[in-house]
Amino acid sequence: MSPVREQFLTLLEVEAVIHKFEEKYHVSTTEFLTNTALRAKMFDDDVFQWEAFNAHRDELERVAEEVRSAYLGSVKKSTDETHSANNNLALAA
Amino acid sequence: MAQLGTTYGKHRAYADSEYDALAIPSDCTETLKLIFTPVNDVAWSSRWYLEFTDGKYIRAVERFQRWPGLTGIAKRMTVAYHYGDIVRRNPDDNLPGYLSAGTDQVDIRIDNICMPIHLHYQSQNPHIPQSSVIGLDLESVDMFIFVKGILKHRDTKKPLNSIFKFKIR
Repeated sequence: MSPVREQFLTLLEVEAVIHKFEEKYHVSTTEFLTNTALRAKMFDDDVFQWEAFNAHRDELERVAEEVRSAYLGSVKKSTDETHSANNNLALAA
Repeated sequence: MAQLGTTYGKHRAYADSEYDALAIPSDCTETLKLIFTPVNDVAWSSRWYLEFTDGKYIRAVERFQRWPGLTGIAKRMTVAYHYGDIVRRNPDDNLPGYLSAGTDQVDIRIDNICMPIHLHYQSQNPHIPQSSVIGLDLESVDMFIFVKGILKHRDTKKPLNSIFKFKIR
């Protein structure tokens, strides 16, 4: 087993870390991302982590949206098929 | 490897083999062992801190994200490899803290914070753009090339520009 560590975070865990940075610096993530003067006064590693967790959240949300869209697409398709089948039954009756 | 598109699986396989082969000297401690935080095969970040008994440290952080327009390929978006004196510590985690707008001592640093990838050499300023660095493609440096170069520099006492084979225009 590799000695290199790996951590998988849920959306809630990622948002908790982002919230911790917002509380530490008393600014929103939007303000952090747009205010270069503020970032220059912050610890380099805090800037890195805040950006990384924000990107992490975006990617998690993007993947969740992909899954949701695919699910809704399949539900709509199966509903359409069910309607069609019901119509055929009605016609047969 | 760093400048090419990759995936988390390929990158981890490379990192695992490089890490396994790395001989960390007795005067060096990993105060933050190399840790990866993946989202999926095209988005992840990593952090790594090594400290030396003479008060110097290495910080190597990277963030990869999906390459726009290319399916299933990740690109290194953020990079910072730093070697220099421990000037202060971040009270949150007690790891060495660096302020980019300060006067913190730097031996060598490669990063793409606030501007395209560039070099800091023997001081925080100036930020030396790739166009002024001859002999070294900064994008080609990855965390293992950087860490092994620093360890070689400390072991051989050869100057860093000789180890990394660059000249500044």
